[in-house]
Parts: sequence; C-alpha cells; structure tokens
Amino acid sequence: MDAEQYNQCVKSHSDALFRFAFKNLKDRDEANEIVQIAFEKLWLHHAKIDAAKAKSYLFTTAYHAMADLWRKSKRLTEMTPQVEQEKPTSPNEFNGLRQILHNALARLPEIQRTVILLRDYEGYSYEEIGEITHLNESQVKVYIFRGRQTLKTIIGSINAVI
Amino acid sequence: MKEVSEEWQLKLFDLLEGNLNEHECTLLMKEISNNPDLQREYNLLKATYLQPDETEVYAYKNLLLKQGSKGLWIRFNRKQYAAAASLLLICGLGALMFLQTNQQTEKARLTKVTAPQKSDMSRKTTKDTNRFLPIPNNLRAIAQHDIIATEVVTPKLKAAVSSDTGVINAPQSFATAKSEILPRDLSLINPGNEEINFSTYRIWVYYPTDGPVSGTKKRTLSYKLLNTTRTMLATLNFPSISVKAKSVKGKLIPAIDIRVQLPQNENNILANYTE
Repeated sequence: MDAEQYNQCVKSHSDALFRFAFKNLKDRDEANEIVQIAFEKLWLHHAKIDAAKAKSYLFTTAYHAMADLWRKSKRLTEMTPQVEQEKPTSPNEFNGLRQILHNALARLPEIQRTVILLRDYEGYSYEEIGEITHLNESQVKVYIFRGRQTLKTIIGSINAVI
Repeated sequence: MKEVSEEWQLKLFDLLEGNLNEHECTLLMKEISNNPDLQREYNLLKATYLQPDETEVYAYKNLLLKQGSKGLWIRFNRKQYAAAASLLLICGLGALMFLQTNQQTEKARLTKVTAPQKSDMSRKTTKDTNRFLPIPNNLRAIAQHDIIATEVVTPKLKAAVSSDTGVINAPQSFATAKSEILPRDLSLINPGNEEINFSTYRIWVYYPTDGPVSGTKKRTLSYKLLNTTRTMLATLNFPSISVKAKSVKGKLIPAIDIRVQLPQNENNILANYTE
C-alpha cells in the first residue's frame, strides 16, 4: 500500500472506525485515540499490507487496542470500590427506539457488543468478524445471537413499560 | 401471549441474519404472518439491528493524511494545540525578557568603559550582532551514540539519525524505515570546522508522535510529551553543543526534529534540520 492508498483508507474508513470505537467505549477521546493507534499501525506496516485488507487490519487493530483498554479498566475497577449505583433506566430518559437500543447496547458484554457492531455497522460476515476477534464462526454466531436476545429483552421490557 | 420457543427464536434469527435460503424464508414469513406471537418476536428482534449514526465522524482525519515522504506529522487535538500555543507564548515572552535584560546589562556596562575601550566594545557588539545571522547550511546534527544518556533506557532500537552522513532524516522517513530513536544526547556539530560568528542559539527539539511506536507505550509517550515536554529549549555553544533529549525513563521517542532558532527573532524558525 502506498501513501495515496493509505490516504484513501483514512478518508474511507476513519469515520466507521471512529463510530465502532465510540460505540464500544462510550468515550470520544478514547475513541479518537483508538483511531489514531489503528492508523499509525497501518502506516507503520503499510509497505506490507495489501490495500484490500486495510479495512480489516484497521478494525482488528482497533479491536485489540480496545481489548487492552478494557483489561486495564477492569483492573482499575477491581482496585476501586464502586460507590455509585447504576441508575435505573426509565422510559422518560429515552427519545426513541434508537436511543433505547444504543443504551441497551452499552449494557452488553464487550465481545457481544463488538460482534454486533461489526455485523450491523460494517456488514462483516461471521468469518470476517471471527478473523478480527480471533473467534471461530460458530462462536461469532452464538455471541451475536445472545447479544440480540439480550437487546430484544431490554427493548421488549421498555416497550411493555411504555 | 405465548413465549416463543428457542427453536423458533433461532429460526427468526437466521431469517433476519440472512442465513436462510429463499424457500425457507417464504415458509417462515408465512408462519410469522399467521402467528401473532411470532410476529411480535420477529418485530422485536428486527428492532435490535443497529443503524450507524452518520453524524458521528472522526474529527482529525486531515491529521492522519500523509504526503508521500515529506512533511512533519503531528497529531494534536484542540487542547494540545492550545497547550502548545501557550507554551510557545510563554517561551517567547521569557526569551524577550531575557534579551531585554541582557541589553540593559550591556548598556550599563558600556556606559562605564573608557573611550578607547568603547571603540573596542562597539566592534565587539557589531560582531555579536553577526552571530545572529542565519545558521550555516553545512551544519549537521548527529546522534552521539557513545554518550550515555542521563535517563537510563534500554538501547534496543536503531537511532533515527544517520551517523554516516550526520543528517537527521525527516520523521516520515523514520516511520518508513521503521527505525526509532531513544532519548539520548544529541550534538550539533560543524563538520567543516568553519568559523562561526555566533556562539549562542536556541534549539527547539520536537518529538513528533507519528513515529513507529505503538501500544501503551505510545499512548503514555504522547500524553507525556504533548502535555509536558514536547518542546525543549536549550542554549548551546558552538562549535561543540549538545542537547539532552529529556524523556520519561524507558519511554521511546520515535524521531527528533531539531529546529534552530536565532535569539534575535523569537517568532521565526530560521533553520530546520529535518530534511
């Protein structure tokens, strides 16, 4: 991949990568950093990377960088006692199905959230998601299924309240 | 309202995921239209499919773009730009005050000297003014590999500065060549041993953050450098001058860009040693 192709990747994939990171992390600064890390790595290895595989490379790198963050934050959470209780969600807090869905998404385990985002946002196949997350196709399917079931339950319960 | 069995839930899931063939889809859709429980379940499951929010875009796209092998790429966000601007302003004001103080001291000293000494001094002052002329082109920066850095680091990576030519390559070249530099002493030398009419410089050392470092070290590094020690100011004396590239212990610096600024004009960087 040359500089021009790299620039094309920036133009084509940076927004999607940012959305993927932002929806996963819920933190704009961290998402910006994940995008930066992914593109830095891409540039560092651009001579070896085929332009056709750049998108997959970016998402894989971003996923691994996020996994590192999750591991770190889990360690910190274990050390810091949680004082604040999670606020119960009420229908008033939501301004539509989209908002409900995105709030529900945030409650999913990280791996389920990641595979659903890769599936819905990027339209990746189970195989491609497996390559990014180092899972096999069956595992990907199961995680997507379980994630959707959880989302469905949350949406269903909120619908019932409304 | 009945609970839909897991078997049906799987079928609905496969339908929405596009895992069924056309015939299976038709049969299942018929079943759904005849069964209100299935219909409800289908609608709920369908609602779990996300649509990307196109309004969310990456704001720093332009900073990621590359222009061949030229250019210096520094990824600042707004806060970092503000911090850098404040730092430059403070440094500029500090340098201005320093110069003014020096001039006042010089004037006070001149008023005390006798007439013949005055003549000598005026010649000297003219010479001193010359020292602020643009930097000679034959100056080159090299890394002094033999000098032990005050910050102890593991020298496991190649230096970004070519010791053969004595030329600091552009940071972009470092990234391409996948070489990195550790915090170390740097020296600016005059290889031709030509006479230089000035003795004092200000050297600004920049640490571009787009070098070939990755992972957590990179993040720590960029925060540290961008927020605190991104630029360094040092007063140097020719012909042998050195800059200590200050860094956090154990952290990597991808490349070093040395810019030489003459004291007389604080806002004008006259020579840039990255080529």
